[in-house]
Amino acid sequence: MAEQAYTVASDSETTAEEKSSSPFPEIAIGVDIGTSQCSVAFWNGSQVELLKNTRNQKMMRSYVTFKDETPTGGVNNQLSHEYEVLSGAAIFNMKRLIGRVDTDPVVHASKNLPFLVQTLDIGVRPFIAALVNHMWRSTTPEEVLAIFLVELRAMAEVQLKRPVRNIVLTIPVSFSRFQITRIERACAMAGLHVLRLMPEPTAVALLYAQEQQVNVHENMGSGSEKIALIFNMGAGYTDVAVTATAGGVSQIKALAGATIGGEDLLQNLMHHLLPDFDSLISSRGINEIKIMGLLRVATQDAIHKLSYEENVQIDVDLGNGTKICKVVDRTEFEEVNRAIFEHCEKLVIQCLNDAKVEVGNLNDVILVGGCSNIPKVTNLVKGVCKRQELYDGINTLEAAVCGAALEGAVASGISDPFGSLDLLTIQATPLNIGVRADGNCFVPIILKNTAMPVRKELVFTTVHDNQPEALIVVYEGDEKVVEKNHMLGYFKITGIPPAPKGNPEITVCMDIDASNVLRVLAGVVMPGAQTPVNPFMEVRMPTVDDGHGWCGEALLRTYQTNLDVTVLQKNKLH
Amino acid sequence: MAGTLAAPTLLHFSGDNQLLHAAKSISSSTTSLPRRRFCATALHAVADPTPVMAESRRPASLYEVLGLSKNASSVEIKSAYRSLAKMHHPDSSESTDGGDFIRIHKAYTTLSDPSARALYDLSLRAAAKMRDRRRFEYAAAPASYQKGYCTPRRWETDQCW
Repeated sequence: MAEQAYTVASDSETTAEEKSSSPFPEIAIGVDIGTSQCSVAFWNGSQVELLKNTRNQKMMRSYVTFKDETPTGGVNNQLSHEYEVLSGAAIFNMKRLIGRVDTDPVVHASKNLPFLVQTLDIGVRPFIAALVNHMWRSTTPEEVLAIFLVELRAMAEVQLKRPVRNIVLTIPVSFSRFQITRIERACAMAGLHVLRLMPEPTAVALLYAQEQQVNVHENMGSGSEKIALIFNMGAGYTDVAVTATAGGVSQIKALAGATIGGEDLLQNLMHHLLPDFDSLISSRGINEIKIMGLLRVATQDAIHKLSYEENVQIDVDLGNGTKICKVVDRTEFEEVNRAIFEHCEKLVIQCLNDAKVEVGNLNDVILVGGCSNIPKVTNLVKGVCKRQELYDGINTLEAAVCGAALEGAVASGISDPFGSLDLLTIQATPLNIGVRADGNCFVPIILKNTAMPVRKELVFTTVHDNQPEALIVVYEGDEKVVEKNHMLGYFKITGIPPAPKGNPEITVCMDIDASNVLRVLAGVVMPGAQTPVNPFMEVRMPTVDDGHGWCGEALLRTYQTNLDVTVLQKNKLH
Repeated sequence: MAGTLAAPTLLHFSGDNQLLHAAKSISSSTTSLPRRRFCATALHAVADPTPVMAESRRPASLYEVLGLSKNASSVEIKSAYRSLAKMHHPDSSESTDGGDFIRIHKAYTTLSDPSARALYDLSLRAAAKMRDRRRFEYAAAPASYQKGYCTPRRWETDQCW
């Protein structure tokens, strides 16, 4: 059934500006695919409503079980027991794996999961497989996600009694554009068109903006600007945003994010309970998978209990002669995960600095996500923001998907007679985008935390006399050294007329539209000329597929500095 | 005077040229490229120190973009920006391609930052005096006063679109 619903999988198709031809505007639904849980919400004409599956759940586990011929996802599947997900037949944590290469530490950490994650450490996509009839059957995170989304779409179509095609998808702040294309590809495979992508805290910001609107209407006046910090910690990712809200307009001032979350807390505690865990499971036989499952469930339960109790008794028989019988208290748990919590603190501080906001000027601090119940998380956010109380008007698990559904209605052009949709989020870029220039440096053209849509331009020049061609390599990231950033793509400017170095003006213009599509326009103009030498290039990014680390190395090896560019200094112009 | 406006980088974006034709024909209407943005971004990136500003090419000051008077308060600037953003952001209006919003946002970025605004005001005043001076030629202007304009510095280049 899942296979039948597949449509053409193509990167370029997913974000195309095509409008549906139906006479009624299709209201895009909001989808939050979490590392651990997933939910769908829609605008019902007067407010946002969450969809429930056949078992009346709003939150559905994100996993797909491979059995015989038909894989089944966690949307409607009834689990007889948690261990079923951990039997090796189910693939989960897709959101942590999608669009990552096998040198990524996150992929390596995923080797502790009960399904097969194999790496060759050469910078290509990892090998992922599920255990079906005692065989490892290969799949990809995109495929798993697509199967899950097909189920999700079918569920939504049954309940909404209409075809569903457009969605607003929430993503982590730290997702690279390459990861975004992978997740969009998964959506395309499931026949879904991503109308808008929203970093999770910005979806929460939109919901917050709506609540403030309502409050202003009720209190008459006091429509002044409110600054809020939103901290979102889920199973796979942690995001922070600072937003300034007034009159229903939420302007994202800064974003920060990292691939840390509940999964890391869980793995650290598992390693703490069983120090030789990694060597114990390395052979990955049926028994090892069982051990992984048992330990994982016991550790998960313990972490949940530690949110409400000071200490917890862990009793688990791993069946191979190893028994774990231990009391873990909250301090111990916090100590084991100290690095994670410190990283969270750093993200909040960084986000406040980037937004140029003092903690004293924050009107509200909003904590959402699956980890928001953990006392240490609450305390660290309160501590950095120097506050006693957190904003309590928001459901910590549903906020992101509700925000996405609001955005879906707004971006679909729906208006509400009561003004509930008189809203706008002005998104910001989460990472710098620029090109390789001045040797091996990353020269940003669009800086991070720039409001979108945006268009920026920078002029470069040649580094050799009579250099006929120039290579434009586009990167995304925060690092100075170019290789540490994500490569998005590359192309050549050709036909540069013979001229002394530093003379030709190579204009590189970057453009991000409201749907977050990045285009790079580049061409060369000779000083004094009014028209470009050759037609400009317009390239949609990213263009690279897997193995982008290799591309950078190969380009460097093949061309050395022959095609390099450097930033044109102002004084050289005249 | 208009001829001296431009470093070549500016001119190739400001006239009818192949790039724009090509870009226009390739892109759908939603992604076409508003010309003057290129001009402005080009100026911004190169930080062109050319001191002369062509009057004929000067469409609107940043204040005019936001529909404000020159002594608008920071609260007024913010609320004007917000209401204009609601009208011109591609999310809330189907007809725009984002170019209007980019212009509005740029005006807001400058005017909401007190120091950037002060510099911009200075440059506006200098530009206005330049115009006056040209109108009255050099008549009656004291030499020292005139000298002050011989090298008028342009602090903010944004107004040149």
